[in-house]
Amino acid sequence: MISAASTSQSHLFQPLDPFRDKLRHQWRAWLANAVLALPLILGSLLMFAPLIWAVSFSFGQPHEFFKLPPPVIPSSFRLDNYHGVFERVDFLRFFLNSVVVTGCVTAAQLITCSMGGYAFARLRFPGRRIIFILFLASMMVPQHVTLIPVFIIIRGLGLYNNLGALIVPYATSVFGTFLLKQFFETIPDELEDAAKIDGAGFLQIYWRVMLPLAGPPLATLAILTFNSSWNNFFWPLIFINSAEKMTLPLGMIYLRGQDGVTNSGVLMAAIVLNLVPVLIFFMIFQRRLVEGVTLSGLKGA
Amino acid sequence: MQEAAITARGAILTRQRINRLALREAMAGYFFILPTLLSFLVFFLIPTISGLGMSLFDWDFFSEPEFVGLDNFSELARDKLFLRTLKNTALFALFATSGNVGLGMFIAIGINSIKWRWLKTFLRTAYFIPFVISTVVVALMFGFLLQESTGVVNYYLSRLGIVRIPWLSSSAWAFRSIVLIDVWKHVGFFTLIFLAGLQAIPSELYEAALVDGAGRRVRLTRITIPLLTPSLFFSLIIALIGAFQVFESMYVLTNGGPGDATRTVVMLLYREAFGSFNMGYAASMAVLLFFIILALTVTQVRLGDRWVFYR
Amino acid sequence: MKNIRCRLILLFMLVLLCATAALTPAQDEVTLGFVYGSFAPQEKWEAYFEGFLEAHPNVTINYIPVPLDSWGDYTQKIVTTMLGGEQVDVIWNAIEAVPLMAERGVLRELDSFLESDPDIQEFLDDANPKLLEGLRWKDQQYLLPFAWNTTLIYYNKAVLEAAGLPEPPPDWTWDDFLEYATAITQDTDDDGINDIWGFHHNAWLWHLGPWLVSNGSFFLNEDFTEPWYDRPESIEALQFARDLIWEHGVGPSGSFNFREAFVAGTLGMMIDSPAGRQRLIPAGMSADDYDVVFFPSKSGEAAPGSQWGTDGYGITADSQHPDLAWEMVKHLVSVDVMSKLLSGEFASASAPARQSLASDPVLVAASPANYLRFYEVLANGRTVINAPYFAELAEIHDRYMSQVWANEMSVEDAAASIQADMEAVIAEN
Repeated sequence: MISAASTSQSHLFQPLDPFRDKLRHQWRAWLANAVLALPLILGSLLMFAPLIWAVSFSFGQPHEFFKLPPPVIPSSFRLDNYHGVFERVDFLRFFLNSVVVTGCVTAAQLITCSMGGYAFARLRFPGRRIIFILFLASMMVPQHVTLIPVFIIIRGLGLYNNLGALIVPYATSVFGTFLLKQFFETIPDELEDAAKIDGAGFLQIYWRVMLPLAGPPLATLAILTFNSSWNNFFWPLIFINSAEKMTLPLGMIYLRGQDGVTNSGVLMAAIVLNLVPVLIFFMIFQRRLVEGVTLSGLKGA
Repeated sequence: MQEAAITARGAILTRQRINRLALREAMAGYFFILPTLLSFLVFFLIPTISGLGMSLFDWDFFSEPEFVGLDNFSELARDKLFLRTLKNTALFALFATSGNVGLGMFIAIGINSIKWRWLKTFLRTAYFIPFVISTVVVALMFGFLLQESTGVVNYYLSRLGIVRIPWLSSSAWAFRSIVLIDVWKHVGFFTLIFLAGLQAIPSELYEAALVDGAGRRVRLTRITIPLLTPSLFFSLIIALIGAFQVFESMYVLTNGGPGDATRTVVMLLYREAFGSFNMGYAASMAVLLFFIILALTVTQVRLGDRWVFYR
Repeated sequence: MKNIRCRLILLFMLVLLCATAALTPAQDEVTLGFVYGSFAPQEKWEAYFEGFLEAHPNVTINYIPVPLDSWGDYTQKIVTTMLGGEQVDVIWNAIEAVPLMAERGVLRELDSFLESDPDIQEFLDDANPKLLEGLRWKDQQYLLPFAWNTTLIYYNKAVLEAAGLPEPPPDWTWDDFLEYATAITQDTDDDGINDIWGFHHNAWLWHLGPWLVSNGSFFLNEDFTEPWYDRPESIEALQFARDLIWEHGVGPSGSFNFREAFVAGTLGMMIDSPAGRQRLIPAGMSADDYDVVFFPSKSGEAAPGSQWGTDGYGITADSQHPDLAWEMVKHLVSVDVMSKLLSGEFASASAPARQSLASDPVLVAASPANYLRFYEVLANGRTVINAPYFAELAEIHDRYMSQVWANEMSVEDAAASIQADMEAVIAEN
């Protein structure tokens, strides 16, 4: 009996075992995943919470800011605070200035960095190594060392309080040149040789052979440049003083100074107005941005 | 004899041709680097050299500069306020770097070991979002949320039974808050770098380890972490360089206070240069900052040889 | 493939376009650079120039806004702007900065204009002599006074009423004040967090000065060569001010948007100047909803005191058109322009420097019932710190007092440190 029972049991068990095991395995994998994911999900909520509060307060009325508990969902969706932003400052102007500065800087860097990257990667000329090493070394020098002399140069060029002061010094970047150089070095010589046999000059090789291949690193550079230029604050703080030339970050500080921070709601509305274009940009270029950071990280590593 | 002469002549000819070609190539090279080089000269090299030179002068922008040798530097060594800002900056760099890099690494390892793709993408995005928001906006936002008496954060903490925290008004907390805000903003960036590093680890290594019966922990400590060291090395270097130049969040949130608890070298430098117009003194701070960054980076690179795992 | 190149060409053209747009200078006949505080938008300042531009059609004004976080930062930013190559002709600035700007050679002395232009006599007769005198440095006039400020305690009538308090008497004592503040402070929903606060002030010079004056002391002596932080009266007053927050808990600690709270009815009393009404009116508070009262003194017997400051207009030393700039300054201190202070609808709502405007019906209507108390403390008050090194003194005060306000330093220690540091700065200059 005993043996029969045990055999019947094992008989019952045996055919189901692989399935059960698989199920159990799946369940355990799922559980492991979930246990792992939970703190990460909670952490990601911490990333979102300030943004959600900012949006919520941007619709709030002054008296609500002192109400505890603070409402997570605003009691009404009144746009007074947003009107308040446009009443106090020319927000659209800040935005356009940011677009112009960022656009010019990004465009200029794409051109200069791809040219420089091409030269360093594919052309031989005396001093190439030395110049490149100097370039790389400059990445370590904080911009504050150059601050005062650059201030004098900018003044000499008549660019003080001019959007040019935010564009010209950033028209090229060592990092971008480096990025493009690394890329151009991976292009096989055959492609270039074929063009040379066809009698192409260096300009044509750069234009016809190299650039068409450089889409991905150029996109990476564009997005990273866009991000840092859009968020630049120190430079405008020093070189821009009139409201009509301010970019968004400086404009935010300017707004804060208006009538002594009377209205936090207005400030929150301006913050939300800042977030929206950036988040849209992020959503559109998310993958490229991630690739860009990844690429720059890998190159460095 | 004759043959030899002919080849020699040919060689000269080709050499001439080669020279001409090389010259053309060199000219092209200079042409292509011209914009970068010009900008480098005007906005980097010349300013850097004059910045270095300026640190040897006493100059207030209004009167003639006066050569003082290394006086500015010996004054820096005695300037209590400067030493305080240097200490603040170094501590900030220490905590922000370890927070950003350490947390970034753990988040990346966590995200990487999740099997669900959609959740992976979501988490990666979620942690990265703050990186694209400008520091000024981030600081203004937190300035509002972290108010001591009326702030949202303190309200919920008090609901949890935690006393209200003087986030920005006590010296100790203001410093911590600024580190926390910095980590909030940048941790996603480092997560991405580590994620890239993780993806570069060949899966065969894990498979081989599984065959050998290695457990989770062994795989983590013997494969993942050693192979992440290049990413870690890179992250540490750029995080430190960035942290030593920190300025914006302090400028917006605390203006260096309370007392000088959150004043950094760059804040002091900015004020010396464009507040008190002590141009030479400010330049000497910048130069010192540069040498500190240089020394740290060189040390890291040297030490890196010992612990970074290169394949 | 081709696409990338096309885009690059387009980008290149964009760069050129931007560069040319950015580099094209404006061409005008005479442009006068006017520096003003950017706390109020440009349109509100533009309103001041009505009439002037009609009288001088060849003049264009280049408005140069400068953020006004403190007068020290403001002044430094003006100097940076001028170093940056911006042509500045007329400056709006405050009494605090006069010595510094005069010593730096930024401002032109105005006495030669005052002597040669008979039109200005009318203004000199009307302007408050104390203000005129305050804007002189080393026997030279540098700014012409426009609007002045001093601080009193603002109270929200509805909040006081809800706490069952009558309007405070002008000769109240510290004890009375504490009673008021304690009665107002309430935790309405019993969650352990106060919802209504009695009083709020920061560790700023501007907030603490009146406590010192009404206790017979101040930050420094009359000519700002000797710090007074070590005087017992000073320490006593600072201690009382600090204890309001940390001992008696009648005021919130940390950054607090006090004007917003005052309007919202969650703050009973605050410190503000005549200009304060400008922030209250748009927030929906009428002049009947609040009033002003003197700072209390320890015994209630001292004459009401506070500190006062004034702003004004001056001409830069390197102005290319000093005569036109003088016309502009004269216009700015005219009755017409100064009347724009009264309603609080333009750039500033501070008190007008012209005595003839003190009881103007527009001002009366836009001010609380007891606004003439501002004029009383102007007569008794101390001038704000105005010395060439005022920014350094302010920084020293902030450094230590902010730690007192964070409850990390005792008043005695802070006062001793401030005393020593200020003495060092004064000795250096």
